[in-house]
Amino acid sequence: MPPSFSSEPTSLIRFSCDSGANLLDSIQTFVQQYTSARFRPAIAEKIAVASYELLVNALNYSSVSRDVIFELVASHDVVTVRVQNETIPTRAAMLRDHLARVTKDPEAAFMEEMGKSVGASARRPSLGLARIAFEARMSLTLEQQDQRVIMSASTRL
Amino acid sequence: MSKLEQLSTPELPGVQLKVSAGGVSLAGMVTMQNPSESIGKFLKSVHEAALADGLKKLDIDVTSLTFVNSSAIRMFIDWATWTKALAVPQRYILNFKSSRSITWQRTSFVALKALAPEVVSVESE
Repeated sequence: MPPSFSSEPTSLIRFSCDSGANLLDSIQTFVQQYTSARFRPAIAEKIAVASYELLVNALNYSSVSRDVIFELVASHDVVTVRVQNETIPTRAAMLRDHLARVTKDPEAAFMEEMGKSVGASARRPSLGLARIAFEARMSLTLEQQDQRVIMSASTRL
Repeated sequence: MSKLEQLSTPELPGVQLKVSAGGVSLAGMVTMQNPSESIGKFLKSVHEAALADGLKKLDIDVTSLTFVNSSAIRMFIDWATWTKALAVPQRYILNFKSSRSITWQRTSFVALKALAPEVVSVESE
């Protein structure tokens, strides 16, 4: 039976985890297995990139509270990966600037980040957002509520 | 037996590595947060073996590598950088055998070839 969604967004997966816990592999495996069963392969592939890259960003840069909240939300025609974490104001500002560059021209940002990646630290986050925008062709948004940052990546089903 | 064939491959969760006389293959998914500590070291040993064997071209079969994180993409960039840094007579071509049906491969290898056209070639199936 094909998946059915109401016109109201439905939370398909929601969990919180401690940014100190080494759960990324397990979370990614679970999300990929779930989305592969629920969505067509092209959509599952996009969600895999977005969920991994947003989570790793949040896990690496959480502060204050170490809770990271992950959510996969779907309506009848859109699916969204949403990741929330708390971070310091300077980091949030950097993220906002970077996001503006990535969303303005995803391909140029991806090529630029690939070039910058030569010899870069493994924890440098910038390529991840460029991958979501260019490779996965998902739209990215950032909301900020005090120290809480909510990054969302959405695509049409 | 070539130096390349003598390499031992690390056992890693989620990803399978193999070596042959003319190249290496990577299959599965790379989700570990810092793959440079394991896969990256293995790729460095492949690079050194390719140099010792005097290869002019090394095949890297990634057609079954379905998911990689950004850190893994950086490893391929690093590899192209090591090769590009060599004197021209020592250089070898990194020939990536990729799959058109896997999105990350379509975008990343086109970008990698643009960054290091002297040492990267891409075959798509």
